[in-house]
Amino acid sequence: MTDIMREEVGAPKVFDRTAFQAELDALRIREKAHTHEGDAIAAARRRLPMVEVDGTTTLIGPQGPVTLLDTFEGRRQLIAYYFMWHAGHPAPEQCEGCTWVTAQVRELAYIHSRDVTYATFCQGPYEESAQYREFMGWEMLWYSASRESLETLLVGRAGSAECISSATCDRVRKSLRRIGQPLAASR
Amino acid sequence: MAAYGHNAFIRDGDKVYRTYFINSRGDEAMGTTWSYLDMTALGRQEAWEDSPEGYPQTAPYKWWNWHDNYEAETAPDPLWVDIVTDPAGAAIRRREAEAKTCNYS
Repeated sequence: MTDIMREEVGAPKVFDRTAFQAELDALRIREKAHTHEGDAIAAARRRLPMVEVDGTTTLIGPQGPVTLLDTFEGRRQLIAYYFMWHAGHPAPEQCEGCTWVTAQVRELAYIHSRDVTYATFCQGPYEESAQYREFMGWEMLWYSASRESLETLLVGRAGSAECISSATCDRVRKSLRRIGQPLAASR
Repeated sequence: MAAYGHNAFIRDGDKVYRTYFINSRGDEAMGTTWSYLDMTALGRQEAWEDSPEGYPQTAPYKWWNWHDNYEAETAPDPLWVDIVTDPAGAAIRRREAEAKTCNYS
């Protein structure tokens, strides 16, 4: 069979099998280094400090109000994805990025085995956003969280009493917005 | 405020702590069992990991549960665990087992 993929078609060059394997092996050295660097970064990530947050923060679930502590479902750890929401807008107008992220969630039994719960915290009314969850065929835990609740969770317990007054809270929110930018750039 | 992104929390009794946050291109990497566990404070909790002293760790693979089944009968099939954790040894054991049951007629 003649070459289907030629250089001018904008596809990889065609090599014979031995030469292809040699190139693959050469790249694998970098990929292995990437894997090991990922392991080292994860080890450093496990050595980050942590900040206390208010476990009584209220969210709305299928049975009504629950606390952040409740959303752990008794497990030791929790992963919560903050899902943006545009209240009153139809499904096609909801956040495409958040939808993409949530669509990746599949079999959670493996992380449950590690005593970790996964939940979506949606910044929109519960009934409206739960309909979207059902429409998409998603099965993960789904809670509605107000923007104020999520900001409390991000700011942490220290100073949360002051956040009820605007000046300190505004300063904290502004610094968090600036922090958000470098995180995006560095990753 | 960046109103989207992945958060990790850990609790100690009723005290709750946030251990991690990431968004933007960091969200892109999420979606697999390993990427989720690697963002938690305790990691994959496997014996090979470089974690602080005292962190829970067990042998790889053997802790996988399917569909949240924790009953002994529905634990991962020991034969499968054997293959995944020791492929060469498992092949030898399988050949030996088959040799014992082979009937020469």
